[in-house]
Amino acid sequence: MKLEVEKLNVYYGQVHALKDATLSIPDRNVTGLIGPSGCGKSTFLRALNRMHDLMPGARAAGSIRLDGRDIRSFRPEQLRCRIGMVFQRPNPFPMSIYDNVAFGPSLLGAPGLDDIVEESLRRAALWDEVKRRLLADARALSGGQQQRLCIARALAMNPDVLLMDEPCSALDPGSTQAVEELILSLRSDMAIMIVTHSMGQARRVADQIAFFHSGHLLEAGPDILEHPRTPELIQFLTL
Amino acid sequence: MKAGLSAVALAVTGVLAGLIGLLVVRGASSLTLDFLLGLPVRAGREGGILPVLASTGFLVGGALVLSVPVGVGTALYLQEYAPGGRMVACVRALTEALAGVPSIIFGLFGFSLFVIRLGWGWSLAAGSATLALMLLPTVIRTSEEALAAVPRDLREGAAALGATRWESIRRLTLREAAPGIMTGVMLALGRAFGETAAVLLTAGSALGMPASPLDPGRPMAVHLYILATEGLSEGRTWATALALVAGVLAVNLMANLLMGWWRRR
Repeated sequence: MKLEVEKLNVYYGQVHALKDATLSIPDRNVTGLIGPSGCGKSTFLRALNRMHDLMPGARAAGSIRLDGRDIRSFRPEQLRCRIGMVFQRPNPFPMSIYDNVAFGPSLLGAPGLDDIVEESLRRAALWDEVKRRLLADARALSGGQQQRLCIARALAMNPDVLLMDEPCSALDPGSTQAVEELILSLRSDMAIMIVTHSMGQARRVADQIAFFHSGHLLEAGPDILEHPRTPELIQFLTL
Repeated sequence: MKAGLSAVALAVTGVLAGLIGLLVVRGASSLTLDFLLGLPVRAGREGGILPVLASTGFLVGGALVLSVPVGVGTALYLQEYAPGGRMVACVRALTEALAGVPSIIFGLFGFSLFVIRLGWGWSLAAGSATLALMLLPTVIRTSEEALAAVPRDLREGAAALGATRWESIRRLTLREAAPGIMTGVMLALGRAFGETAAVLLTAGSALGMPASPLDPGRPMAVHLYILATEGLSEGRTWATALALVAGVLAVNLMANLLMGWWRRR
C-alpha cells in the first residue's frame, strides 16, 4: 500500500469535519473520492499532504502512513514534494509557463531545469501547445491549459502520489476529457487520488472509489457504484 | 445626476489644474538651473537652493531606508506569520492610531528622543529617524493590504510544491504584492517630501550645505515655510514650491514606470 489512512479525524475549530476515516490507497492506482458537498472528501484529501497545517484552527488526528512511514515524521515541505496536489481552480503563478513548471524543482536547486520542464510538460500533454511560448505569461493560457500546466507543475517534482481536488470542475468538456486521459496515462507511474462530483468521471478513471457522507467514509471499493451497500450511497446515486 | 457628478469631477480637476497653473505662472520664471544648483545668498533672498535639495534628498532617502524594511517586515509578520488573536489586533489598532497622530507630535517626540536624549542635536539623522517613525504606520498598513490581496490559491499552490513559508513569500507573495507595497511607499514618500513640522523640530533649519548625517539641514518644505513667513523673496518662494511639487510628481512618475516594467518582466 502506498498510503494507509487509519481513523483520520479533522477538525476546523469546533467543527468535526471528518470522523474516523480509514482507507488504504494502493500504488499505481486511481482512487476516486465522491459524496455530496461538505461531506469531507476534500478535507480527507487535504489531510494527506498536510495542507491543514496552513489553516489556523484546523487540526488533524489519527494516522496516515506513506510507504509505512507516519507523515508527521516528515517536514511538511518534504512530504509535499512526494505528494503533489492539483486544485479545483487552476492556480498558475503570475509568471512564465517555464517558471511555473520550474518553480518546485528550482526550490530544491535541481540541475537540468530545461529538461525537467520539457519532460513535465510532455507528461501533462501540454508540450506541443506551449513549446514555442515557454516564456509567455502562464495566465494567458486557456482554463484547460492552465489546469494541465498545474498538473505539469506538480509532475515536475516527480511525486509518488498526486492529489486532485475536483480538477475538472472549472473546465469545459474537451479539457475535462484531456485531463481524464492524462490521469489514465499517469496511473502507471503513481498513486492518484481524485475528488470528483461526476459519477461518470469516477467510473471512467477510478480503480477504487470511496464514498463520503456527513464526515464519514461510509464505503470504499472497486465496484461500490454498481453494488452500493449503504442507504446513503443508494440515495446519492439516484439523485 | 450624471451631469451633476461630471460637473463636480470637472470642478475638482479645475481646482487641481488651477493650483499647478498658479505655481507655474508664479514660479516658473525663477525656476532656473542656476536657482536649483546655486547656493543661497542672504538667507535665501538671492541665490539658489542646492543645500535645500541636498537636505531634502537625505531626509527623504534616510526616512525610506529606515521605514520601508521595518514597515514591510512588520506587515509580513502581521499578515503571514502572526497567529492572529489579541496581540496582532493590538498592534494593528496601535498602528492605526499612530497614523492619525499630528506630525508635530512626532516632531516633539523626535526632538526629545533623538535631538536631546541621544544627543544627535538638530541633524539630518534625527530628522530622518523622526520621519521614518511618522511614515511607519502608512507603510505597514498599505503593505498589509497589499499582502492580504494576494490570493490564497497562490500560497497554497506554492506550499503544495514543497515551498516553505519564507520561500513562498520571497518568490511569490512579495512579487505579487510589490505594486501595492510600492504605492504605499510612494504615499509615504509624498508625505516625507512635504513634511514641515516634524522636520523643523528635529533637523533644524540651517541653510548650509550638509556634510554629514549629524549636520542640521533645511528641506524644501521648511525652506518654503521660512521664505514665505519671513517674506524673503516671493519669486523664490513660488519657485521652491514648484520645484517641490515637480519633485513629488517626478518621483511618482518614476515609480509608475518602474512598476510597469516590473509587471511586464
